[in-house]
Order: sequence, then C-alpha cells, then structure tokens
Amino acid sequence: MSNDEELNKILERKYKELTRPVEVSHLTKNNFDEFIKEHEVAVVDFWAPWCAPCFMLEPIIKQLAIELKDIGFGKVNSEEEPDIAARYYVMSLPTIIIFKNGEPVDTIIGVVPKKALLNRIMAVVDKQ
Amino acid sequence: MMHPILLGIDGLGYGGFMECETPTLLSLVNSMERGVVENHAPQFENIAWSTILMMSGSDPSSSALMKLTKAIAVNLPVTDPTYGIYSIRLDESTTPEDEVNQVMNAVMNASRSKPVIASITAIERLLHKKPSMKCAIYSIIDGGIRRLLSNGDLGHVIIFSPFGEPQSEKEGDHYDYGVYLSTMPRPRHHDTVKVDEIGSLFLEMVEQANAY
Repeated sequence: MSNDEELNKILERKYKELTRPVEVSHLTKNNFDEFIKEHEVAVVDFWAPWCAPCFMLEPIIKQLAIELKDIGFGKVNSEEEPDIAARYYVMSLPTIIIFKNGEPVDTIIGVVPKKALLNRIMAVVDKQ
Repeated sequence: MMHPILLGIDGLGYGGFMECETPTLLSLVNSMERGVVENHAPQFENIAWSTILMMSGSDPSSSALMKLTKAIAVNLPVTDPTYGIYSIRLDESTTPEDEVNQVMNAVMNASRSKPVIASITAIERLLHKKPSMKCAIYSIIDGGIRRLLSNGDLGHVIIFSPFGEPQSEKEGDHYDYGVYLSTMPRPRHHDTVKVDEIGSLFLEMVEQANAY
C-alpha cells in the first residue's frame, strides 16, 4: 500500500470519527455486526417497549453518548431483534453489553446510576 | 378506606425519575405493578383523556367511565378550563405547586366517598416552552405523590401518563412512551398499555374494590 493510500484511509477514518452523530444508534440485524466492529469500544443497550426500567436508563445512555464521543452507543429492541439478544444470552431487560474490538467484555443487568455505568465503560477503555 | 384513584400526570416519563432523582417515584417502580403506556402521535391531551374517559363526544358528562365508576372528576383536561371539582386554565397561570397541592387535596377528600379520576397538567402546560423547569416540576409531583401515599387508608391507585415527555415547543409532540404504575396486577404484563385500555383497567379496579 502506498503512502498516499494509507494517508487517505487514515483521513477517511478520522473524518468518519469527527462527523459521527452523537445520538444513540438504533441497531438491527442489518447494522449490528458492522457497528460493534467499527467502534473500538461499543456500548449496546438491549431494551423493549414494555420495559419500564429501560426507559429510566435511556437519558443516562444519551448523556454518556454526548460526553464520550469516541465510544459507539447503540440500542437494540430485543422484541424486534430476538436473534441478536439470543446471541448474547440477554435474559433480562435492560441489559447493557460493552464490546471491545467486536467482542463482549462486560455485561450490566438492570438500571445503574450514571457514575457506575461510566466506571464500567472506562474500565474497558483503559484495559490494554 | 379510600376508594380507587386514577391519577394521570400528563407528559410524565420514566427517564425523568433517574434524571431528576425523584425518591418516591423511583421507589414506586420497584413496589408497584409497572408498565409502559404506548401512544403514538397525534398525542393531544384532550384527545387522550376523551379516549380514557370513554366519551362519546366533547361533553365530559357523556363519559361512560365516569358513569360506570360513579367517579368524581378532578382537573381533567378534556375542557379548558379543566373539568371537575378542581379546575384551572390550561395555560401558565397556575403554578405547579398550586396545581399539585390542590389536586392532591381534592383527590384525598373526594376518595373518602367515591372513586376519583384526576389529572395533573403542569408538565404539559409548562415543559413544552420551558424544558429547564423539568426537575423542579418532577420534584413537586414527587412530593405530591408522597403525600398521597402517606395516607394509611389508601386503597387501589393507578398513576399513569397518557404519553411521554414533551419533545419540542410544539403542542402534541411527545415521546411515545409514558408511565403506568398500579397497585393491581394487569394481564399481558409483557405488553405495553394502550390509552384505550386505561379506562377498562380502572373500571376493573373499581369493580374489584366494590366486590369486597
């Protein structure tokens, strides 16, 4: 690969990173795998419309998505995407799975305060 | 023993419980039957309440739910001013403190004699234009609910919102998911509650209370 090609790839990647919207992405079977692979660290919130605690967690996830711009934040409606939920053994809602390089490395079940969730995410970010 | 109470808090959302750290509402999520009210646009207060009250036209006295439950109305936003023994204009002229205090007083007094259907409109009246007031209003509502629940002879209660939090300055623009908390379990627990089911759930609650 020439230096120009390599430079273009770096520039493209940087451009994507800088222009990435901060909102939480709605993930389906069509974009889930790509999403967890394209973010070094990705936080995925599994929810369902009937799940009251899922809505309690929602503003916390949105706030963290704004504050931690280098991390991908997504949400999976586990009623509409049961295959994704089953793949990661999601039995209770809400469940948050933190992915690193496409692999699940931490799971948080239930509603947790923002600080607790932030600590768990940063532990994954800081881990070599 | 107090009679069953149906209390609508229009625009209340579960997200605000954590965001505003409302101790009473947070504790109710764990101690009551919980659910999510699902209501997609158009989400206008008077339309939602007309459906809940099973009204056949725009006249609140036509409400089948009021007739079947023999309930006392408090501050229902099917008319402007609101309908019931406590009534306010649907504008900014009444403070959230005044509304919550007066509604709670009316609910606690009226429910000694009959079932009560009541509404708190502060979120809907104020948050579309002044979203920064959110936690102040949530805190006042939390205090009002704490006062209601502290009655030793409280019977069955449903606390709900017919739609979620206001999303913009536009009237009728809300999040699609509201709150449903009840002292009585409901069938199809793993399904959202639809606005047209709320009246039936309250009617069932009143019939069960009358059976004892």
